[in-house]
Amino acid sequence: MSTSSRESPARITRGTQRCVFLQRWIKSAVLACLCYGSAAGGANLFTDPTFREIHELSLMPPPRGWYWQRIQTPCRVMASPAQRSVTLEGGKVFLDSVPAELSPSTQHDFALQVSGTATFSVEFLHWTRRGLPAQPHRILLHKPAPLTATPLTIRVTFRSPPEISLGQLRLIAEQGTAVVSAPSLAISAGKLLLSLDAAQPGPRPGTHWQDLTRLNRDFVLSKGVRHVAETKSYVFDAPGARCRGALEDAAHFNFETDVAAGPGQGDPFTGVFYAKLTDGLSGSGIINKLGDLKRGGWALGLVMDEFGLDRVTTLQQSNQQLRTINGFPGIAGQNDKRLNVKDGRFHLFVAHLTGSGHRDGTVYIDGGTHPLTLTAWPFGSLSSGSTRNSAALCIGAFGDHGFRGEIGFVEIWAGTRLEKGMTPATYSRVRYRASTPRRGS
Amino acid sequence: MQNHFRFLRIACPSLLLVIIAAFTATPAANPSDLSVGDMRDWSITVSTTPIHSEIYAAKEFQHYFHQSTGIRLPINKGVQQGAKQVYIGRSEALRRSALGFTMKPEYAAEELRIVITAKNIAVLGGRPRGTLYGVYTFVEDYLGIRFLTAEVTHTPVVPAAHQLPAVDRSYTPPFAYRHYAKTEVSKDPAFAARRRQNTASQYAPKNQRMGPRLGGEARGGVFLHNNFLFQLSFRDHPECYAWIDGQRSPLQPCLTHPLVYRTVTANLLQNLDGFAPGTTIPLAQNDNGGVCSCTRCIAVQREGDAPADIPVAEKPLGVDPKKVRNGPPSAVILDFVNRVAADVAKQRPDLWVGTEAYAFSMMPPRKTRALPNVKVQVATYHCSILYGLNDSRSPDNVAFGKYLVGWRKACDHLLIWHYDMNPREYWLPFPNLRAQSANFRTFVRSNGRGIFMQGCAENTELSDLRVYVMTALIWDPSRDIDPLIDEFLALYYQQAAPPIRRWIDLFHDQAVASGKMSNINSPARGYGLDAPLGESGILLFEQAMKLADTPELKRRVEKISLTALRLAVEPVWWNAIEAPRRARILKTTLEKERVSITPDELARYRDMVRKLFSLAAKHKLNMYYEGGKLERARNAIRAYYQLKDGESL
Repeated sequence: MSTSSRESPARITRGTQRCVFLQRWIKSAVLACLCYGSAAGGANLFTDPTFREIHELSLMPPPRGWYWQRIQTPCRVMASPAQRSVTLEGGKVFLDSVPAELSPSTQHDFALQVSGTATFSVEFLHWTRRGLPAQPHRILLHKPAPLTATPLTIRVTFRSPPEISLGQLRLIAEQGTAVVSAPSLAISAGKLLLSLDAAQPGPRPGTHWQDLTRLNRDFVLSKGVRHVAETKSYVFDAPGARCRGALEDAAHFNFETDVAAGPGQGDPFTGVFYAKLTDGLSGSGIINKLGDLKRGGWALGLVMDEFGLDRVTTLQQSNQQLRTINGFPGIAGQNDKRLNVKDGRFHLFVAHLTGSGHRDGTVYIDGGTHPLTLTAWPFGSLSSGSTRNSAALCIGAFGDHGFRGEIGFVEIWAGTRLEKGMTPATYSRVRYRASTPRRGS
Repeated sequence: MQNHFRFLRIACPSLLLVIIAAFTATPAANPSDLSVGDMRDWSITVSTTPIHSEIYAAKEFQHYFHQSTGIRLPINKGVQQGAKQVYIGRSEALRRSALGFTMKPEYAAEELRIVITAKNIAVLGGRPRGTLYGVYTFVEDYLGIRFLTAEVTHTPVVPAAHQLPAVDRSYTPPFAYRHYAKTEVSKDPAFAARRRQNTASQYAPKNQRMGPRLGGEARGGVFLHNNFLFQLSFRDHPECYAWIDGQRSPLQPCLTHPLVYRTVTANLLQNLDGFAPGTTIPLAQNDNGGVCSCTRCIAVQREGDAPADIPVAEKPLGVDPKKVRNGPPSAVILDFVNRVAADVAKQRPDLWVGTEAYAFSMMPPRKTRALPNVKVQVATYHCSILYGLNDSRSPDNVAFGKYLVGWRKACDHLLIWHYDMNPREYWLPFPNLRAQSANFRTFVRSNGRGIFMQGCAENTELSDLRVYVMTALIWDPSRDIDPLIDEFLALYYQQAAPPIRRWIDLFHDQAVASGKMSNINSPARGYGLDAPLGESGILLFEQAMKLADTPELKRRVEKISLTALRLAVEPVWWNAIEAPRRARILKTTLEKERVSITPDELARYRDMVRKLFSLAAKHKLNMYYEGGKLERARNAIRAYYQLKDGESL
């Protein structure tokens, strides 16, 4: 008995015309972004906020608008163009926005109004460009809760995943009706939380440093810190030299991470400092909020390490073991990369922490728009616990070690963006202003 | 350790003659004028650059030739040419020899060729396994060697005057993938290769994998239920799952949902480098009856026809008629698999994409055809085991036969998942042997390119016999099963073979006479088997034990006698194990399900059950059903007899 060999499949001759779905997915998503999602601060990223284009999902998602899906009978979705609203009725029913491109690691503000009788919830789904689930994939923006006849305004801020992604909103109505209107999704603008500038130190420069935002009380100088008007700087030239914020203002700077707050819910922030490094030995920060090294907190450092190499460091921890430390461009004992900023000059640093608590974040120096190389500290990571504490924010050294040098100005911005919605990279360029940073305003 | 029988002692000399005749008189062969004794000054020649399996093939030839003839042929690497050579595998020396014509450009991967002349012998074939199979075919057909079990090889003494026939024969097995899933095979890969099995479970430990020495493992074989490789959870994406009775269900993904196709394809395309050449990407349904009835799926299921034009299936096999009223659900599966397969083929035309025809998807699509790189694994689960798949006495088998015809039209490359065991209970006699020859031939006619056969647990029922017979049929489905059974019984049970053969005939006869049509999953009564039949079997095994004149033969007979003993205690087994199960499933009572047994009978059965478990432990019948250990059955029967802790059965 003998049969011919059929070891390898023949060439495909049929069916290929149907297999363009992935390309169409990417095209439609990018189209949606180009048409509506330019990511400028404040612009509504939803392609159809008045619910003019709603379809039940068929073999392919529509190119724009919304599509609905049956989960449990009865399922109905009815648009009311005059009222600029849509009514969801279940059973259980999903109404999804078409996917649109999102800026990575960026905070977005979401809002809508809803009333009715259903149990209503809101999710946001993140996808990679290839159409696979991004991480985090499904973020719950509004937990299932019963609606009433009184319109409820839901406002949520969340952060998109670090990889370039597509996102879509999902509205879920169960066991009743939900009347939804005015959905909006926009990139969150940055909020300036602190602005210290030695060019405008306030009325008591010998003992205090005034916050130009007036959101916080004046910082108090410790021993070893002095103001020098000629150089528009404060000099830190003794062990433990630092400026200390008020305890009453400490809560302004409790930046939680996803580890404790949930995926996409951590607090991104950016520290900006214009400083001259003269000396110092491994320490926690030029800006730090660490009451106790064994407890939760965070710090941005400009340090000389044990090997005489200068680096920017970021630290977030819930205790001394559960901590994420990153070095830019290097970190003690891991490599020999150095900043080369111990040159007697001031330099501008923009250090952004994403809010994830993981080994990420970016640091830009002297107007650069390309981030410094990140070198992660391999020992330990912030895998659980909160970074919150009640300690005051400090500028300068933490303990006897740490920063020695001069500081011209310090800013802290909450959010993924900074002034006028600028990214940290753009802000680095704008703020540095070709080596003549704006001062005193 | 192998036990080579130098002297064959057998109780049925006529059968011995048949066996000897079988290996000395190969079909259509003329004497080559070459006797075994002429080969004393011959040598074995392999290539100067042989692959592992060809070196191993040469050593196997050397070993078995020496065992049977007493002549040890030296092995040379490629330098010997001219006369008096046994060429094993392709080599330059062979090309330059008088048998150089055998060096045709290519042999199929599993193909073998044997050429015997008075001056030379060539055994070769496709790489990597053909030559090794050629050697095993040679020693079986021309030296009478039989690989009975992993421990026992029958090696008759071949006299010097024994003439080898002049032959030039080749063979390509119809099943390129051959996998009899049974511990007796998998525990010894060398034995598996001798039985021409060419793969192992992907989950097997390293020492059970078939390495390069044995020619490696055939790729692209069996696959298991895997949610079609769809990885989004029901919790996150219920909309991607089947619409059943007005709501989404996690039983199966909805294959027409665009997200299912998008994510499955995207996931595969970014991981294609992880698939070895020629392997199969399995996209298989889950093991349940969930069929999506969303409007998209129904439209695909209708294959372009109006609802009124869909033929009504009166008694579809393996599926609720309501689920096929819009046509075969397999149309939806094949449509999905085709779309994925087309995308895969653009980047990796060497890969296959496989899916299942099983349970609700067993009915083939009416119009949809599989792309050339799609293979379909058809399961025979629902067929009656008593009859062949083309036997008109079984309506289910007739229906399945029609399904196979449909699948043959829909797909050029079918894999067969076939069963050789009763998953409900491994110890019961399983009366499927008579149907198997016809079944394998049906598979071959139906574009069956590979076979996965699920066997019973180690040492249970007719394990040793089944391994020999089924692997022989998988290798060559043209063979008849009865001669194979006779051969194994004669060589393995020797003098004790006749009563064992009568036992096998007896329970097959009664099963067929009962008119029962059960599939593989049934209690004894589902096959018309009962306790009186078991008692008859016990008597036959008493005869067999008397005929067995060595401790080893008695051990073998005792082990297989458990089939009769188990059947003989059926009333107790039923009351202790089956009746509670039925009462639970059918929501009835134990009293209603149990059969009545008199106190005297109960006492007699207790002795028999005690012996049954004693022998089961002795012969390591550790499992009594799929996932059920011996202790579980023993505890159930102890509970039935209301025995206290410490009280012996």
